[in-house]
Amino acid sequence: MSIIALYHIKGGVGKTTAAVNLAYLASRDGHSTLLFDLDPQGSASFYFRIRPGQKFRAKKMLAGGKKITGHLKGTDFDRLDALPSHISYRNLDIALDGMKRSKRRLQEVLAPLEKEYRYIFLDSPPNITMVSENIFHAADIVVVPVIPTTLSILAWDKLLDFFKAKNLDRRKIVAFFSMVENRKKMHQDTLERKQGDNRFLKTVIPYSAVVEKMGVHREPLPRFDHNSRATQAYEDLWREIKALKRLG
Amino acid sequence: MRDTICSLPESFDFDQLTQDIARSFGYRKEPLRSVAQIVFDTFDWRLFKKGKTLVREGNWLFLAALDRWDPEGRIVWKKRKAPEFWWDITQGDLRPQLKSMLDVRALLPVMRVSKTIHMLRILNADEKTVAKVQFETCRARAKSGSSHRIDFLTLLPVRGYASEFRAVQKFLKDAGLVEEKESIYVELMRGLGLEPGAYSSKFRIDLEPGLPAVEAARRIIGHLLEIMKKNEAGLMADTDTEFLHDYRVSIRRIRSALRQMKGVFPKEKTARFRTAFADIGKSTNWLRDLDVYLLKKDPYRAMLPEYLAPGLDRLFRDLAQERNKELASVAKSLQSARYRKTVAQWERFVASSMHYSEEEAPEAGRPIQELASDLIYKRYQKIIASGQKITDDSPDEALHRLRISCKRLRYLLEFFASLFPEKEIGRLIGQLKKLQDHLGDFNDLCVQQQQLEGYLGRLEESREEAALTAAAVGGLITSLNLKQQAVRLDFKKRFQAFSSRNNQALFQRLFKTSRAEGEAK
Repeated sequence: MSIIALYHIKGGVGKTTAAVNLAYLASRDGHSTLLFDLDPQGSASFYFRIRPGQKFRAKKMLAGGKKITGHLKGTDFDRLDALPSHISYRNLDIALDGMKRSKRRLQEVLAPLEKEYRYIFLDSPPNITMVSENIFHAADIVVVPVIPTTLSILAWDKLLDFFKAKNLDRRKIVAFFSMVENRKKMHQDTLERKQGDNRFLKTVIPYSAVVEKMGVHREPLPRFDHNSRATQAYEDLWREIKALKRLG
Repeated sequence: MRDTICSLPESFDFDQLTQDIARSFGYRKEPLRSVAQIVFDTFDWRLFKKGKTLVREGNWLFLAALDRWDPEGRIVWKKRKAPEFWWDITQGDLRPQLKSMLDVRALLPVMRVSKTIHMLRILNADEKTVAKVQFETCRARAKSGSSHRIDFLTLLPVRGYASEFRAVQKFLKDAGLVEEKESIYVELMRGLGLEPGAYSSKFRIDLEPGLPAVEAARRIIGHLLEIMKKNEAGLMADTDTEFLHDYRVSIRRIRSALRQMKGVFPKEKTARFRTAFADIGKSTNWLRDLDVYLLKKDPYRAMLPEYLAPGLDRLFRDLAQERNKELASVAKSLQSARYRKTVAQWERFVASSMHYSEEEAPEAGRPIQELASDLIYKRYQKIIASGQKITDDSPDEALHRLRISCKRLRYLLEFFASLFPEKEIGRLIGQLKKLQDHLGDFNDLCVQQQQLEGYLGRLEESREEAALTAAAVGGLITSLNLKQQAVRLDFKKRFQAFSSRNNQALFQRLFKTSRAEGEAK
């Protein structure tokens, strides 16, 4: 099993779209795949049209085991399951705070799912909190979408610093450029500057109106739009990620 | 929640069902889909017997439970040729699963299935799929050319939507559709005239206690002949090594039956066949030995240090070459007119209902249960007597003779199993098997050493790598010899378990007849 986290310190950078599309592509490859929606906004859950069960809460999720498996939902696609998010996840940090081994909790929660899934995708909440630290510990790789602007690069550098300060394995982190608009000079310049930085994947996800339509279709992009540049880009991104050595 | 498969009445109309569903559920119709599958199993139905099936669908290869649609393991298989053995699959969970089920047997195509699937997605208020209803038309074709068609309806659950699934299940039931318990794959196989699970290398035949011995012998041998013949094609085509193995076991059983059931047939009538079958058996000895070697490649490799590996490779290349030659020669003799004639004559002999006089065949008319009891009990007593004489200093030959004696007893117990209480016969066979495995290991180790010595003698010194090969073979012999000594020291304990008082009492209770008692006095 490989755990792939999609993470960014703030929202609106294409994190959830990437998680949804990559998880779909992994399942299309024939692998049993789980998308674990940890973001209390529940956008990934929305895309897959799933809602949490009546009794599902943050505390249940943290209890792990059967408490989780009973709440897994099959998506509309073969081999792809999802664990819906719940609004109570906004207090995950508080719940974690009182717990033992509070930084490794998520890792323990995921361990029993190892047998069933080849890939687990984590859609992380924004911010940098105890939840994020849990995600950084649990994930085999942390994939960070970066919009090519000065501020985004600054945030990216801060994340690397955070990993260093917390003694986390920085080899886990990879980035890709997201929502790229070729007509913007700043985007072009940033892309150029980062050329040769081997933490950045080669694939660039363009800014695209089709991607926004995912909210209308409530389906992964490759399902309703086969040929657009954006779909192609996600397929390339998946090819690049699954070939990463850390994923075995 | 699991897939529900419904058989359909003659009058079934899918469009009508769709309209009915529309009145109770939200739904979406998917475009018509067709799939082509090839279903695989081994000659002796190893997957079927475990309730599994291996299916190739396009670039997918998946293992599924026979009665479920949802695969348990799947891999991408892009090669044109399907995998033949478990070791052809190099990746994924499928490899260990198939390894434990297939062992050395090859996968053979059982049938081709083409399906057309109409799917309705049952949707909730979010337009999320909560169950799937599939109307499937399945056409199967066998290699023989026969074909069979089944139409059915499948209800597939979606994880996390149990109550929705149950609602649709109830709806279908109320619509008069009956849940089908049999697997569609099995139904298709039967419809094609295949008999899944029918072939087994285990001997199983039902005899009535009062049957005249000659009749019982004809049935037993007739059945063995059939098994023998069923394995000829796979043996000659070299599908896998088990065909030869099962073929040889049948011959050994036939010979053992003739030898042990003395006086059941007139001696001069069977003498010719006994020699013929002995010759056939012998002519395949070397081929089987070579198979056994080649299957031992990995354990042999593990016995030697890495730097001798090239020498071992040489040995195995030589053996593989030799095997090809030997296989061709065995195949040729199985196709010969002489062989075919012997088998045909023997079949006629076994099928006849000739009566023999008491002088010709004194045991022919005896009730089989009586004869069987006598034979088993006498053989058992012999084994106990000779086994007890064996000490740590006895020659290897003594163990060898005991092994053969045990094999004879095993065959008797298997031939006549149906005449005695199943549970107890099973227990005895189990205990005997343990002793046999032990003696078999000992014998294998002796034979392997002898044959490796033979190979050493034939090795040409001038040849490249000769020294390395000789070193590897020498290393193997030493290692085998150490193992053999260890096995030998273990014999006493094994034999004691088999000759325990409880076991002796059980043999006595089951098989000791008044006649045997009279003879003992």
